[in-house]
Amino acid sequence: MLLELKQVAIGYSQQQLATDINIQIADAEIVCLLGRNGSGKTTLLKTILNLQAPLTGQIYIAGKPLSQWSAPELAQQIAYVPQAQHYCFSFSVLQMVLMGCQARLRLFATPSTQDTQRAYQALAILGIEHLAKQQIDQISGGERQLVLIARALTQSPKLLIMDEPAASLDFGNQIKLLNQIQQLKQLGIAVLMSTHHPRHAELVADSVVILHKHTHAIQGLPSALLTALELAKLYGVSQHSIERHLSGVTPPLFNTKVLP
Amino acid sequence: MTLTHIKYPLLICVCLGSLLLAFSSGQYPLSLQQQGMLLLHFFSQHSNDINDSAANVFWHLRLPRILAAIMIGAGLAAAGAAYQGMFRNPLVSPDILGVSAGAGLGAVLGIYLDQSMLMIQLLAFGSGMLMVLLVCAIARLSQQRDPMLSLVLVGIALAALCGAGISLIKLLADPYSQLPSITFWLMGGLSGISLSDLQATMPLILIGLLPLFLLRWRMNLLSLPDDEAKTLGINVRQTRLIFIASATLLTAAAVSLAGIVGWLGLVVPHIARLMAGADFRQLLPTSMLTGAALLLFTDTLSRTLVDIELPLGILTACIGAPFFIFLLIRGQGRR
Repeated sequence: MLLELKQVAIGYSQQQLATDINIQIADAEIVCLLGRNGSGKTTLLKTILNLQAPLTGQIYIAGKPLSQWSAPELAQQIAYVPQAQHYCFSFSVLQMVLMGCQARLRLFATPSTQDTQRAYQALAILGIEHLAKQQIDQISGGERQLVLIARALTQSPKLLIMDEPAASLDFGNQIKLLNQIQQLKQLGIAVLMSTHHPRHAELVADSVVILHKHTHAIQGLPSALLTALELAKLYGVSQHSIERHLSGVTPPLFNTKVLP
Repeated sequence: MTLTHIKYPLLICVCLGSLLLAFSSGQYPLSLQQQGMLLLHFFSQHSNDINDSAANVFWHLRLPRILAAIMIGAGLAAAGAAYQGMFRNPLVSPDILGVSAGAGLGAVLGIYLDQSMLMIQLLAFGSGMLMVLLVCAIARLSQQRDPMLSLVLVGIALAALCGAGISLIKLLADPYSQLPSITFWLMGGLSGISLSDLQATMPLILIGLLPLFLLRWRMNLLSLPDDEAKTLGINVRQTRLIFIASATLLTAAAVSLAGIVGWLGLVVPHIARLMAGADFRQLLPTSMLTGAALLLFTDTLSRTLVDIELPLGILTACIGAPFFIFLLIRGQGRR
């Protein structure tokens, strides 16, 4: 198993956000993480990235406890794609993507021509090699998100962790992003992404993790967990509202048979 | 062809121009021919004639001063670029953690206690380094989630305390002998610098520059948010400490030799970023060359503009502040 969480509790010393979290992610599996605002989705992702320690429980990456991985070793296993944001200094897209090579560089080394080729390959996979020389603050939010994915790919990771990658994207860019995420699966890369859109999870996920604040998390197939009943419980709205919102404009994605 | 393509030839030309101007200008003008003769004389006989006033001006007055301007200009600019990068803030200057305030207090105390020039420099250097150590130690105790914010806030608080200390000593100092010295020191200047002063400071500046140069690629990652930098595989805390120590060493060495030369460390990285972009691999050498040329030119102005020698701090502010406003209006300030 690529990633395994056993009885993990997350949060801060004064505040426990969620407990009893058991998650398993296999190679090339796409997993979507859903939960209310403040339920601890970002905290869970940061805990898996070793940016903060779990309150209790064990996390294993490729069978080895998370705490035993050094930062460069871990960066070659797990890459992080944050939400596209404003950067203080305007690096070029190529420079930004090259930063993904850091984990393989020796202490005083700078990226080589091979690293540059690798960065161009990552840009080509995402179809944005034409942006290489542009400044990161001169491209659109959607393009910036793709650049961050390209940087993560340059790390040659086995698992990509994405924190609400579609949050600031327009409808078209959301579709493009989901297509790219499905492409990653073809490359053998697993993805764990948090999202506020059950529909996105339905479209791309092999399995879904639902995080209930202060209580527990459950993992299961999208068809089992993305039901109106489960979503109503999760988000604290009526089943009727969920059905109305998720089956209006486009053909229903949800199997109506499972609805009570 | 853009500014980026010709930056190094252009910068080297500007540096050489500033160098020639600095050697030639002053109350005792030296022609290019005289300078050539002096160099020829030195390299052919391995000694120089100190009785000759031209040689004396060239070797003992101008050369130490020019070397100091180059080193201090390059050092402060490199420290400024490093501090701006690691604090992810283009408005940061090398004295953000109180190194100048600490060095100022040390030097002012040295002057008040009638110490020798060497002792004043040592006190300035030591108290500048000590101040940053204190800032780092106190910031570690704070409960702030953002460690950089803690550093800046503690830096501001301790710099204010140093400012109070300096004011108190100025109040107690002898108004005819000590107070003018204190005022001149706080405004910065390179007059009276000898080759032996440089022998003490040059190694410190080289030691400060070395880690910045060797770890120049990692500086790019430090300018990302901490979470991103960590997940890319660097030890953020350790790397930042190395950069803080190096940039502080550079600033403390520069300030102990020349007093407080403001604006240079803030403005030069901006000019360099316009030419070289944000990548620290290019930004560091571009900042150093620009800083050296600018301080050399400013120092030449300071000793030639009017009959008396103008303090460097006044001139760097007069050049730096309008240029900074120009950059802000052009919208380049944040890059």
